[in-house]
Amino acid sequence: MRKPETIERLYLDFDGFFASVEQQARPALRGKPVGVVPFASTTYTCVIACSKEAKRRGVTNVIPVSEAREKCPDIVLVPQNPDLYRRAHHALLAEISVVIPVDAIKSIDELTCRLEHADRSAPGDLARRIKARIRDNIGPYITCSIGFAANRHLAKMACKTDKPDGVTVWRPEDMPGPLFALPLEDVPGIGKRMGYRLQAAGIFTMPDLWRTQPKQLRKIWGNVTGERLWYALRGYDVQAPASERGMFGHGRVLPPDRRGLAHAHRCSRLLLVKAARRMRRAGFYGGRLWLWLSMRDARWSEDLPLPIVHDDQACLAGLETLWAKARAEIPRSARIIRLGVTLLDLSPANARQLDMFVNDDAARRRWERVTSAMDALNAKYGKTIVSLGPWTPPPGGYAGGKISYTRIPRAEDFW
Amino acid sequence: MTWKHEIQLRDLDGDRPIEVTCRLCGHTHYEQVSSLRALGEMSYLDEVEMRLACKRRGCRGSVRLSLMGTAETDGFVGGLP
Repeated sequence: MRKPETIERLYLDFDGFFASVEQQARPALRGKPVGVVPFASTTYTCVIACSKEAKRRGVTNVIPVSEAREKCPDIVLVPQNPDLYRRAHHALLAEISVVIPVDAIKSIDELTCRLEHADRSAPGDLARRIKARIRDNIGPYITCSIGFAANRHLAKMACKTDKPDGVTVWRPEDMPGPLFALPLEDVPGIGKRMGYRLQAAGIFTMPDLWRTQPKQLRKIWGNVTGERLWYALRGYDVQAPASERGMFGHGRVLPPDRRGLAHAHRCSRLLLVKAARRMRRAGFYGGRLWLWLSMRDARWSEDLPLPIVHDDQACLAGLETLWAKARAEIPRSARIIRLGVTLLDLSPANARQLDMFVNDDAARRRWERVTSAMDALNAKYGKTIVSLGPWTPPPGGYAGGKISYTRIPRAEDFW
Repeated sequence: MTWKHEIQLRDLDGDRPIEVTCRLCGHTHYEQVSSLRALGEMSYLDEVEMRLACKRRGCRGSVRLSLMGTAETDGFVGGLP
């Protein structure tokens, strides 16, 4: 394993991304404590992101609205606008890529780059160029913090130590001093549960963690991640292995007045069609469909094998089979709070394995042509104008367009 | 000088998608770099942006380009970025 002798990685994290994009786009919000919430007009939700001004008043991300209002009575709550954040992400990335090639996009507000030789001796200049581009071409209300270190992991930790709008350089010769100043929970990969496990092993502080052996961490973690973390903290060139696409799915919290089975069924159809569209765009077929329904005190889920398909008709037919089971097993008065559909067991589109016991190839080809025609029409008009069966988007919008850690939606996901 | 003034079509892979959004009606469609190259003499993306128009029938509004990423987000594995 290689141990870089100088800084080789940059990690960039935008400060309060959703809230700062809102402030950039809407001048009325500038300078005010802003909290972004998933839905408008409900207090039974949480603040998913907050502005620098709100953070200074004690508000944190993922905090109940009631608690946020206690800490900061004049907080301005704005419903999330995933399409705006998505567009801002692409514009910011384009600006940054003019200064330095982006190595990996880690989430909508985090990215990492490999440093060119020339930038390794003057990381501060590089950070200034990136920040100046963002300020001049996007706007001054979107700021970022940048960390430089020997590997991605240390660069990410460095980046978090000087927020907002900071620049931190951890050169290999300075380590492990800066690490020792941090609490264990500031290490990416050490959450609450892992913290308990480390305490049980007598590890309470960063120096305690530093004194461990790689195999000891592997045993505490129960897998190779612990060992990888040991090497990452010591500046070895370790990073997350490339992951492969394993599924396409969507989930949704239903609004309080639409939690009956009929509404849940309609919503699940729409989510499944959106998941199937994404699967087709990425060039996959699905071999299994999973439906889960979450009620107040119970949960129902069931999966169903599919004959390696990606057309809407086959996916929806599978969903109807699952709903028939659900209706037979769930009381009619059940209130569905959350639901989700997932297409699993993916195969590349150029390697469809026919089912030996299902003679459906001709029918599938026909439905695939129909589905392709529908996709083309929807793409031409930039919205869903043709669908199999009813198309009733749930209130709140953005069904299938949610931003998650590992997914940045495309404009098509909002159609 | 924004990225559109500095990035040329020839800097990008042919299969790279570019999102084209109408500033007037909001209609969005995608173009591939290879198909834009085939349109003729345009090198920088600001020139492409000026040449393109909304494809929605009867609109023909001016458009805004957005460069889509080449890959999906690269997830965290056990907290490692």
